[in-house]
Amino acid sequence: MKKITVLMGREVKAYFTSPLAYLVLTSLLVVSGLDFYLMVSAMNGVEVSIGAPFSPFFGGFIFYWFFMLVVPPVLTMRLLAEEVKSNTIETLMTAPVSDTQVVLAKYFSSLLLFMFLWLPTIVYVLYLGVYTDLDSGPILSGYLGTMLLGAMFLAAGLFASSLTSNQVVAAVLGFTLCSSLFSIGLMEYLQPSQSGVWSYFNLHAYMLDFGKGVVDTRPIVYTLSTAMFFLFASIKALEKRRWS
Amino acid sequence: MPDLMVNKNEELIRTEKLTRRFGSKVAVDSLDISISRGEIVGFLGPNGAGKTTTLRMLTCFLPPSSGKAFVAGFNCFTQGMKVREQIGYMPEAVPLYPEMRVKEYLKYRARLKGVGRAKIKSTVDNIVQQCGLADVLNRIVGQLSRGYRQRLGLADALVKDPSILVLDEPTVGLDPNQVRETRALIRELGKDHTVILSTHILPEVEVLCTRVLIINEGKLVAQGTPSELGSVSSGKNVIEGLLQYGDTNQVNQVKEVMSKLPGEPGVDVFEKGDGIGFVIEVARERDVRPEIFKLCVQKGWVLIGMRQKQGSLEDVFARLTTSEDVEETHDDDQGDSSE
Repeated sequence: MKKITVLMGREVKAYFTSPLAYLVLTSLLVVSGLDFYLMVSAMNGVEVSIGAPFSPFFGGFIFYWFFMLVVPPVLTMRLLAEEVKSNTIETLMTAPVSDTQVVLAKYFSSLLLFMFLWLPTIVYVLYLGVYTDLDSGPILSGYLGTMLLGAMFLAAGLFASSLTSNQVVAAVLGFTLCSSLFSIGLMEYLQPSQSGVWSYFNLHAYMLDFGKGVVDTRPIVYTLSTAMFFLFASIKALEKRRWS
Repeated sequence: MPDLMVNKNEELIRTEKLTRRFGSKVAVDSLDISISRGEIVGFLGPNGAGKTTTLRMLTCFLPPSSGKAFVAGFNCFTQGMKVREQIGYMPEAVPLYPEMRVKEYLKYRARLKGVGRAKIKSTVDNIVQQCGLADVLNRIVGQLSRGYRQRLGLADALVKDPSILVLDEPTVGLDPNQVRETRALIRELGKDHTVILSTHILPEVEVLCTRVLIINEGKLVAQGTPSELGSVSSGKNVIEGLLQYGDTNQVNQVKEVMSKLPGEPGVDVFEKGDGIGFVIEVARERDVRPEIFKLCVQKGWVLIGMRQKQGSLEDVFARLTTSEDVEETHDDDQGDSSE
């Protein structure tokens, strides 16, 4: 555990010594600012949404998904690919640390950064809270859902990074994995006859639920187990690199 | 370090039929080596001979395809963590994180290798002293010169004070002054560490190592001290000398007289600058230098210089590692690819 925190310390610092963290942070603020603007405009319109004003902010708008599908692979693309590319993997893996420790440390540092990115959006909540009474439940569950999805997408992105030594390839592969995970669920809308099966994978519907304050165990189990699968696969990919 | 002297012959590293394949290519082929505490061992071989692959297996970076390796009694494959704690490893080309600062990097590596929080400062300060990094402590690693990168790599390898140092091509890409400094540092470290270094630079092992292992195409082809290996290089003693120039006839005269030396030597005489040079080859067991001197006195020639050439490691190396298919060993997808 101590080794993991030491490794995480380096990873998190590395995010902030490159322009990446600032770039992603800025883009999230632009996207979420736009979301917020649209949300407030919608509330001023004829059809006033009832109950959960933040529901569109979490998953209702296309911009949210744009951000959720692009940012995790960008955050994770560097993590393992760069170590292999610059051969620092050799100094890393000959220090007394295990493959599992390395993968977990890199994963949790990306998750930590992802959480940090969403921190400034709390301003919107506070701002709206000044003008109207807000129900905190749907907002908290909205953040919970976002973090769960992030946890899953980041694990997929890390797996992509473990497969290649090229960061761009890792990012594209990660994006493909994330958007596949997202698209599978959309089959529910295309194949209503089979909707029962597809609904288990429907991240879009899950997020709409989270935005309304519905916390179901299905999305929690689905996202966390998928994340664990990808982490396991990343560890195996790292081990396999040495055998080939 | 007196306690090290006591255990000097304790075996620290042993491999048994250590083999590593990359696809169909055999990079390391049934290697059996044994290294004792306190040795400075040079791994010598042409590029692609399997040096890096062997070192990577000893440092637990690569698992062997078959065979076993033991470091300080721990199996490299099944007790990797224990082995890694014993070894300080500086990989070829010294991979470092370019965005970190020197001090920050050393602290991070020390913590990663399990140096306690309370000891970090003194550990890092010591290592900075030892490796001469004090001037660049706050510099960004990516902006360091080649020489400092090498020192930082060495500092990283040393930071937990490991009993074994494994250095892969430690002087590659350095300028002559830096090479000299690095060698001095390695020699210093050799006093209380067991050092394994790989190189394809022959003088390096001659000046640094107590023992040399020559490997070619993944196989151990020779081992011994540099002078032991040098003496097996050729069956001949070669004597070079220079006489002061007399008259034009002297060249032929010298040749004629020297050919009559005992042991039927091969003689070559030639004009060299304003003197007359000669090269004499005789059988190894014979030293004809006293005879040559007496002969010169007798003939009234002025002998300016004379020396007997030692068989060099270079000869052994060339003889052992040159073969028709040596070209094939040059590309090694995992091994020495960066050369």
